[in-house]
Amino acid sequence: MKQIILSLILGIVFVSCKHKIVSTETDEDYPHIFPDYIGVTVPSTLAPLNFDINEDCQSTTVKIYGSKTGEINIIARKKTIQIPAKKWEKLLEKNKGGNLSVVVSVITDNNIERKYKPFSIYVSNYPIDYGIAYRLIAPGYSIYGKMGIYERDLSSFKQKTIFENTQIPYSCVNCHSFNQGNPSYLSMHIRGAHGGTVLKTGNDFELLDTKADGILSAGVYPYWHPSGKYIAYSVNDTEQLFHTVSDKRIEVYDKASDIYVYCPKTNEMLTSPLLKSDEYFETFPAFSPDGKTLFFCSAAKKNMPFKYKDLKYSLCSIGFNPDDGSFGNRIDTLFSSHSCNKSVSFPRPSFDGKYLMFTVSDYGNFSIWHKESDIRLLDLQNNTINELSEINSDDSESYHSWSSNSRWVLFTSRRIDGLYTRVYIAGIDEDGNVSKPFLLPQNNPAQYYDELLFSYNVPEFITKSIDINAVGIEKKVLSKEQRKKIKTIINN
Amino acid sequence: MRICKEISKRNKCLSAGFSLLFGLCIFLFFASLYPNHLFYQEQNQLFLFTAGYLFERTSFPGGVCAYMSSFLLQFYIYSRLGALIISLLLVLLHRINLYTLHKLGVAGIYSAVSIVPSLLYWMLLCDETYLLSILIAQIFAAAFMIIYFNISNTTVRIMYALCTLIILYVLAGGIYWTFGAFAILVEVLYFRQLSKRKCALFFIVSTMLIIALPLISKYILMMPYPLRQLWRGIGYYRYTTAFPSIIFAVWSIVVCFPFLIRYLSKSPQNKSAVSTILIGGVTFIILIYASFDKTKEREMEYDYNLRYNLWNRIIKLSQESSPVNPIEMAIVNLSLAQTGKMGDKMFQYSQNNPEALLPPFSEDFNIAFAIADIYYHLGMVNISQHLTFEGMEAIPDTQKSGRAMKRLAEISLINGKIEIACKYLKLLQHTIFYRVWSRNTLEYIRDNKLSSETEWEKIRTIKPETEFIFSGNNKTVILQSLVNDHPDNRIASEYLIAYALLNKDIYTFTRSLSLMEKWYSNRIPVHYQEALLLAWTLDGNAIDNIPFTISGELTQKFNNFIKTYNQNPDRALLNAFSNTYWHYYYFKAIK
Repeated sequence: MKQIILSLILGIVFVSCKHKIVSTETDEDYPHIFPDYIGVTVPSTLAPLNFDINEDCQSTTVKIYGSKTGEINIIARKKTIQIPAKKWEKLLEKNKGGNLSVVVSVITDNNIERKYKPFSIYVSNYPIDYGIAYRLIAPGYSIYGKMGIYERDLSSFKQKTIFENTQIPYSCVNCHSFNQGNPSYLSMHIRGAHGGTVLKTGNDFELLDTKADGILSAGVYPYWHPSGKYIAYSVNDTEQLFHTVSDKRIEVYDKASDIYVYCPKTNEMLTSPLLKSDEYFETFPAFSPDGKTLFFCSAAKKNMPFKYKDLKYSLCSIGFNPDDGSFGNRIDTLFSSHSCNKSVSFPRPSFDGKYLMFTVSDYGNFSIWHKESDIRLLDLQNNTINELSEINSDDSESYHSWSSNSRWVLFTSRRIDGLYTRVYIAGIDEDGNVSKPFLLPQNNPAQYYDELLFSYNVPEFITKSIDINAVGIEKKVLSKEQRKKIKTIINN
Repeated sequence: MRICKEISKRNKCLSAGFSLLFGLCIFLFFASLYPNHLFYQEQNQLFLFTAGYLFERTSFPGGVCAYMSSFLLQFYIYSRLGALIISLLLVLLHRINLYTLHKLGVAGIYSAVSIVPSLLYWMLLCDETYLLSILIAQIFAAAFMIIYFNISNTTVRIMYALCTLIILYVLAGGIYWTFGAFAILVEVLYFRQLSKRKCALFFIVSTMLIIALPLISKYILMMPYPLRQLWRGIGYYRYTTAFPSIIFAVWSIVVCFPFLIRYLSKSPQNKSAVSTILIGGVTFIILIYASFDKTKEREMEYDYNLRYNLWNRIIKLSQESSPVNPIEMAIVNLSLAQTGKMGDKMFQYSQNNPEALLPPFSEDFNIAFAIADIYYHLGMVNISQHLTFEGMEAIPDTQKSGRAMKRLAEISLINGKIEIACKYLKLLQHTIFYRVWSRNTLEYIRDNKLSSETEWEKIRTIKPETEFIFSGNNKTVILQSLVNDHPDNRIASEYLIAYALLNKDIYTFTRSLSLMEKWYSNRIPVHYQEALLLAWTLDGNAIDNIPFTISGELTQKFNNFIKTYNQNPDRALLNAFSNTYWHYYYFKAIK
């Protein structure tokens, strides 16, 4: 009897909840969704592409059909479409190399069923790395509150804390770097009263004071040599200026900069007169995947800050011999700032050696504060430049990183609101064709990104979860123990 | 029997009346003498009704109290509500302690001592760096102690104590050990049911648990806080690295005092309970008076009035008590400029240097918002945005700020950055007291009616157009640029002239004076007349030939000043001229 009554009640509730559709209309446009996942290419192990529909409606129905097999049906009474994780995982796996067709229809407030033009999501055959690591920091000026370095498993929405500055109050953690995505090799700076550079090679870590006598500063922008035997750092004398007109906020510039290569085994800093010229600013070092070339950015010295708009960096390279740590005796210019009147930052070669991605802006090297900054792709085999219209926007695109198989790139962009930097991921095939990028998926994306008062900073692909002894680092940093000093500086 | 009941009823009434009176005193204190401290607390945090905020605030030991504290602090936007909240919480703590004393058999006049913990917390809350969570944590601990008294079964009581230590650590944080100490004292001095061996065992297990909880948090749960913070508690004190020892002293007193009072009340030798309590009461009143920081309250009052553009109230306040620091002076100067009194009144105050007009950037969150507001009213919205953002990031306990978030939204709207303004506005919709404003503003955006907001429209029309790089050393150039871009920017014009005067830059002053003609029709403000007289004679000209309309009285005064100065340039002799520009020019060294 009880079961009958319960069934009756449930039946009444169900019937009363169903909308009486008065008419059905078909919209020739795609639905307005956030994030824009229409036509994106995704890896088969990606977390569900949950999205919000930007329309007032009573309910939303989403049907996702695999081109090979399978489908998912979702009925939502709210604007956020949350795709069941298990079903999504299976659907992606079964449709690898194919595509998903997403059919969205809504029931409007006046009981009209509106069906939108179906859109596709392409499922790539190329695998993607385990996850990404990034710093979350408020996009401020010089003072920072809470910040931290985190990792995100790309197959789920899980974010794991790697290191937060609450562990060492009032400190700044930055410039984390891994060796081709391998987090067993880690460089990370901790700035502040207890500063130092954490260098992890394998299971051990040490705390370095990379500010040796005669060097401008402690190490700043790091890049690992593929052998793991070296790590290149720029050293920078950096300052900030503040704009008073509305379109610009900050100008971050170097008054001087050089490049050094640190050898953890010998505790030596290596450099060349060509990398620490008095006439040029050298910064953003990056080793080629074979380890025999060091890419970097170089600009003719200017009277700073007065000539800040004239400071333009070119993309350059110099030979490097990993056997003895010596440098070549000439600098090659791969992309001249004079030829296109742009300034280069963040050179990042793909790990298959075919391409080099970099950021261009009108001047300077702190591209995140330059609305005009875009990403370019240099084909190292034929020296052609791809302007990457697929991934650039009207707002700033800046930092970027290659996946370990060089088939995915991630980059930061401020395209959503012009201030808070977000991570986008795009596929890239062997021929250099780039697919439409997708915003890093979140369980409740609109709410998450609306409420997040942090920018994603220096996102990097990682091939596995980061294993770091955060407590050990904290203990070492807070101890009065002397940081390991750089032994010698060798000019090769 | 009936008499007993009547006595009991009378005692209850007396007790309730006493608590009411105590609560009223607290309310009047915070509402009348300390309201700006309450506003200060409110503006340095932003409580959001979101899952993310709940998770963030409760993700450390004591997080529940911190969350409750943030929830209640948002009501401080109205000082009377804030005062009511504090008085209710302090009275609640007093009533819990009264119950504890009664349980320990303390009655009569000694019951009055139950306000001691509340008085101690009242004293702490007079310091703006203590957060309400410290009081809430104490109430939690005290409430758990009450339950402990009411468990008659020894085994259940011991189990309850051990479980409560864990629960209290999670809910209230570092105060948890006081419950363990109290439970042991209650067992030893009150219940006396445990054998010596069991009592020792209870002590050892409790101590081990007290030691273990922060270690578990740090090394097993991997909480990203230094171990010492996990011991002492997070969220009680605004500065995360500091933890004043007075907190430990207060906690220890709160644990021990009921037993001390119990001992005193039973001691036959003590015949002068009333006088002892009176002396104690007077001591506490003196302590609270000592904790009452009138200087900070005034500073905060200046800041509050600036936040709400209450220019006349600022001038009135400055007349009651002269500004004593550069920020107060800067706020007064802005108010003078806003009310068109700069040229007539500015040297009636003790101006110290040009920074009293445009204070330098500060990483101190206590003054960053005020400096940001000054630049905002000048039209320099990017600099204001910079300071507001930095001020918010500088809040030591990494909270956000309702005041800052609102200002950032406004500046984004003025700068035409609608997307980012909407982000801040949507966030403010998750609050109680900024919700209506943010909803209305979002409606303005949707209906394209932003220009109907007169203040934003005014600022939009005076913000700089010529790009220049801001630095602390080029303020004359900046002010000149603001005026060049928008000659109607009266505040910038007033500031340019005042800045020249304070810098003793007579050339810039005379060159800029024509800017003021349209606002001071047919007259020259008094201080500008003073400066003109000085400028004219410094060039070696005779006063009679001065080509400006200067009042005869002022000319005579200037002659007297020069005569006295030439006879003996002693500052003391010229104090009668202290409210003139001449006095500033000759006697104030620019810092």
